[in-house]
Amino acid sequence: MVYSDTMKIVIVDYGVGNLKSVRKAFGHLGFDAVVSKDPAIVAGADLMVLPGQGAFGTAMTHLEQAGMVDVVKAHIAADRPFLGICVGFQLLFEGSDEKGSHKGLGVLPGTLRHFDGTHTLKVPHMGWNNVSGPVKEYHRHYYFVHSYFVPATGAKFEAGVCEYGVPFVAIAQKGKLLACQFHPEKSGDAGMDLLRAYLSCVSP
Amino acid sequence: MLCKRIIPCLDVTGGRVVKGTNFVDLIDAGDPVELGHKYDTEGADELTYLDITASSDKRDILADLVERTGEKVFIPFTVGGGINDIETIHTLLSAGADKVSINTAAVKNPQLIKDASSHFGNQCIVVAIDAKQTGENKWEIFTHGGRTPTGLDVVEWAKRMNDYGAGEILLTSMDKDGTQSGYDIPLTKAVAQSVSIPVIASGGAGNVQDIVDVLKVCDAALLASLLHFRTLSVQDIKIACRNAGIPVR
Repeated sequence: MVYSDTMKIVIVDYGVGNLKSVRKAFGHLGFDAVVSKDPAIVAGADLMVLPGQGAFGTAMTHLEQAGMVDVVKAHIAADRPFLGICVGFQLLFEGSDEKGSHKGLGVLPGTLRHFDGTHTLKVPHMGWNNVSGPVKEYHRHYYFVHSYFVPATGAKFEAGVCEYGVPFVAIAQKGKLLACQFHPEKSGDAGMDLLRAYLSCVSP
Repeated sequence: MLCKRIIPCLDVTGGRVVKGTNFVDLIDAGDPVELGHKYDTEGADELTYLDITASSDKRDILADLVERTGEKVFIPFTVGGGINDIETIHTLLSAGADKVSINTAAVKNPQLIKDASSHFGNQCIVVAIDAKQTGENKWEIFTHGGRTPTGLDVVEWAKRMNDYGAGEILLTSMDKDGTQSGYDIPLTKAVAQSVSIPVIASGGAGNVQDIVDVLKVCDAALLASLLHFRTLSVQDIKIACRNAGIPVR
């Protein structure tokens, strides 16, 4: 774990998602990551990782209950390295049309929509799909599992776009923030290359 | 475009691969983790571990395998074999499995599928069905490795499991399994057309064309001996699919 002294990676444990896989992926790349449910430890991260799976509303409620909302917002506002994965990507947006219409962190503009309302493909969108968009390095296949999506609008932060009946945001990038709708830790070589590139970019 | 998936399946017992493989470049070709890693690097889209251990410490052995697999395998993997309660599902998912596959227990207690999918999400609950043909366009579910008839119609059962929250159907033709005479296309088609979730076909693949044919009617193909004994590589299959216009990664 050669880099662990120079960059403190903290995976936010807010009771949602498979934290182990994310941590093991970092380990595989030679980076030691800490999993923590303590907001103070999370606040001290050089690189903050927000994973997550399942429903947007449930995840947001858990994030609030874990006392992480302000910590995450402050970290991103200071443009410190931040990686969001799956629901951890979705939470960055303004909200979702999921029943109960929950509010998100509002760091990025856009509202999540359900695949059901737009076409007749199988939901969840599950499996390998190709990403296109302005950043050529991201043009690979990645592994997706999700029922809600952020419609692609051509906004500057949309570094990768995927299509499943409709075009949606697959990778969001803004300053030192990188967030993906897919699971890089489950996307084989393509996912590892993405994580490796990001880590080398934000490492001191 | 969403890709069709090629899924190697490894039978394991006591944390070891059962039937053996013809991989010559592995240090330990019976180690499910090393084999899983090999298939990951070869371009497999997912992995399935089917545990046939019949002992009381089964759950711990399987959880340990899942833990070790997660260190080396960075594609989704499913574990199955005798899983029959929420606690075991929780243990295996927490250990790092992406999905669990449930077979006999779903027939005995269909409510388990409802409970499991609402607890853990549809995407991680795979219902495995072992089907035998009993008439023209009619198939019945068999359990306990194909020995016990249940009287349940496969298509009706698949629909019900879909309604109960299953995320995928793993459909094995007991008639075709081990014959290498091709997948049961009518069966696979009948199920895939009646559910709104992905269907993984299993049993009968003898050559690359069989796989191409079945992927025209379903979402994924499960493969064992053809891959383990190096009759075909994952890339051989992907190339044939691409040439046939089937989207693969």
